[in-house]
Amino acid sequence: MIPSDHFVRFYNEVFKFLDSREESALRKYWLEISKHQERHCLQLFKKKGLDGIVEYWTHIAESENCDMDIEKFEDHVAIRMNKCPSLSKVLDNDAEAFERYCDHCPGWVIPLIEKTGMKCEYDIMDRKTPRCELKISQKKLLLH
Amino acid sequence: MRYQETGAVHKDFHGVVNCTIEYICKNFGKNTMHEIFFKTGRDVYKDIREHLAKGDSSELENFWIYFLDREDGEFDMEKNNGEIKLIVKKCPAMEHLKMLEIEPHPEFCSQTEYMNKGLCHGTGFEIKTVKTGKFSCVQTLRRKS
Repeated sequence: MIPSDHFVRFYNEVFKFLDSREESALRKYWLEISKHQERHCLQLFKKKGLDGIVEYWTHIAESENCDMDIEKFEDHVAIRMNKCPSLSKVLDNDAEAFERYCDHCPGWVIPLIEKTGMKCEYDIMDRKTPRCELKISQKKLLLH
Repeated sequence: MRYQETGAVHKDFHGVVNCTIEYICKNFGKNTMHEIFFKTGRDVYKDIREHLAKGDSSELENFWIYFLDREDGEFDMEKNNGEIKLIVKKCPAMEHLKMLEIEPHPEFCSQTEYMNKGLCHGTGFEIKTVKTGKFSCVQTLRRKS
């Protein structure tokens, strides 16, 4: 059994393999992960909107031991990851870290958020530092 | 131990492993999936492998006990005539898939078999992994004859 604690180091090996095969392989895989993750949060996001976003990421912060700030505003939620446990483990690893490891997060999160009618923007900052920011907003309706 | 995690355990990752196995097997075949598990065992757990190469199985024993305990697995360990048997009575990964109502992919348990092969690669040891039920298996570490 791959311990849950070590899943991300296995994930890192999967990314290296897929990246070596074809350009679109990683993107297709992350879309598959995105579909899988729908079981955990799509209905929550659709039903509760930004409150659902706060609820889900609060759960993730606790269950994945993240040092993370979550702030809700009127039209968006701002999430600041101060120390990402996922990248931290991949960097603390006897196997080499995949250089674009961080890209998996927007790779599955953005397609899922877009299915809810909200918009998600990532700022990865630096792929060798376990920090990033994301902003999830209600899409504004354009009135003509 | 090289990796000794603390804090909460996020068992939903077992569901993502199952999803990954489905994806890789469907698009690249099961041999490729085995190869990735083997590389994970060989490279991520380099420290355990290097201890085995020196004849020291204590890191592997600690790894088995520590992480099965953290995930509330039910298991025993027996040592006889230079063999170490890990008897997994209730696999926490399979238990969690059941809780998530996910049907395990037929290759789900190959993660254990092929990670074990990677862990032992070039060490003079081998691990025989035998499934004894849907939620159980026996993993036997012994020196290669």
